[in-house]
Amino acid sequence: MNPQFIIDVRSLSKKYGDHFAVDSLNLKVAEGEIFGFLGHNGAGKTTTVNMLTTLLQPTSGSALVAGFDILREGVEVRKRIGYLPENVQLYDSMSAFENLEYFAKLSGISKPGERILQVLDFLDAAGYRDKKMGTLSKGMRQRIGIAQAILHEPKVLFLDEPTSGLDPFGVKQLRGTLLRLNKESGMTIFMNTHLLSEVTKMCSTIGVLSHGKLIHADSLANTMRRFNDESSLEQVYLTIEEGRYEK
Amino acid sequence: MKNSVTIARHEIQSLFRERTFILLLAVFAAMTLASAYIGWSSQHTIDQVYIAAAEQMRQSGKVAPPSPFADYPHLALLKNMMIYITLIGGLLAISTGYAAGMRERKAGVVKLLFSRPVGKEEFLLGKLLGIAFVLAAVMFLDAAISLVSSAALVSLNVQDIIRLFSFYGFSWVYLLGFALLGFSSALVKDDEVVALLIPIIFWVAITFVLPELASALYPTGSLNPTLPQTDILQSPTLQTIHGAVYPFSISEHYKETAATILNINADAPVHSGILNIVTTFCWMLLCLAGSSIAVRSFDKTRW
Repeated sequence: MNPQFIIDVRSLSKKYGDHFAVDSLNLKVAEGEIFGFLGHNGAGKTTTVNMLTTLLQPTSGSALVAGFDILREGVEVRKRIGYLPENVQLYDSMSAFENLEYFAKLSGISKPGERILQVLDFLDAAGYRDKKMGTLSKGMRQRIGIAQAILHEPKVLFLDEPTSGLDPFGVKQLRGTLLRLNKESGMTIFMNTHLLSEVTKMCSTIGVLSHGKLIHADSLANTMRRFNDESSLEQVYLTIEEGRYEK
Repeated sequence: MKNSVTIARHEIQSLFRERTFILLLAVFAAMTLASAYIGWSSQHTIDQVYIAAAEQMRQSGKVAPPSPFADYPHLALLKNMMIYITLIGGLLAISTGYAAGMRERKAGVVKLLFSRPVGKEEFLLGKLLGIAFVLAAVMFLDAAISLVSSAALVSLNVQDIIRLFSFYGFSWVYLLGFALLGFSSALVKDDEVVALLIPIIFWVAITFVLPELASALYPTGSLNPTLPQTDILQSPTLQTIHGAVYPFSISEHYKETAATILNINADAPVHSGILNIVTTFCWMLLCLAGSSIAVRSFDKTRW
């Protein structure tokens, strides 16, 4: 394992019939980074995350996550990652605490009570521990979802469109939470997103995926410097996406 | 294994919170309670008719023959349970399995669950343990209800009690097949309605259609645990149909074995008893294999 890169993707591809959802993706993410993975709808971002979280078998290629091979060491990978899919859902008939207890046990925490309270406190959600999930607002569900993803103190946190459906207040709160997580525990965050304003405020590195191919990957600072004639990340993104930029 | 136990516990907890399951369980328990009384009542009526007839014979100076019902087995009053188990028990089992298979999909947590260090085999084992435990608990509850209600109506000896618990144990094997069928269907079919319809179709075929054909169109074959009173298999056509369908008529095999266990089918030949038991176990194992295939082909990223 290269200790500098907590995610090391090598020629990773996923093919459905004749169509490449992800095409020979090469990508490295350093430990402690907040990585923003950008791309249009259907670009292959979710497919990439599905493969990196071992939910989906790649057609070819390989990847190391936290030093473990996603193909041969799936269980070891999953022990070291947290995952929050788009539109967080948990068991509605169970309370937040019961949901967290279940996922904590599946993550290998045998007596998770204290850790759950600690995480709920960290996320400012302790007051919701006994509420049924079905009664919680979208923003609160998101927080419980994050709690579920970080209970076992993963090295990498994968987030798929985490701001989807949140109001501006919820987005701000989520940003604060993720920045604190990254700063206090050094957790690497890999985030699929459309919200470019959030990428500017949070991410240290970005990657742009278009039609399954990675067309740009660099630090946010370098990207902005390189496209110094563009006024915002949105314009940089559009420039890259529209092919006005050559790698 | 640890994860399987966690999943099984979660399954049990969740099932006992499901309204449909609780409703079906309540109906099933009520039917169990009623079955002993219904069995006792019909037996009591027959006895009363005999006593009245014997009394009339005595008054007219004739000697009344001994009651042909005097040696009727004690557990015969539970014979309706065989029907309730094939009918309501089957539906309860399908509902249990279907709920277990659909739970993660409906909750939208399939991806979350499999992003944890949980293998498909652990998931399958956890679900199977959960379903098996819930059905065992239901059967135990029913056995307890039957024991108490029967003991209140007739005197039961130790052998009767062993037979009673064996009957519910064997019923558990039979019902487990339906539960696994519901579970598999919920995992592999995209459409929730179709996923429920498939095990129901199997249930209808196993409970009604096959017994009708296997008993050579004996009209009450699917509901009546007793054999036809006349030899309807004399017709070569009916005999051919019977020969072809009977080995697959799982509910017939179940009912005949159950009747033997309850000691109300004492005349059954040994070879047919073995065939009945083997077929019922094969049914359960076939459904278990189906569940294993369903879990293996389950797409973790779809829901």
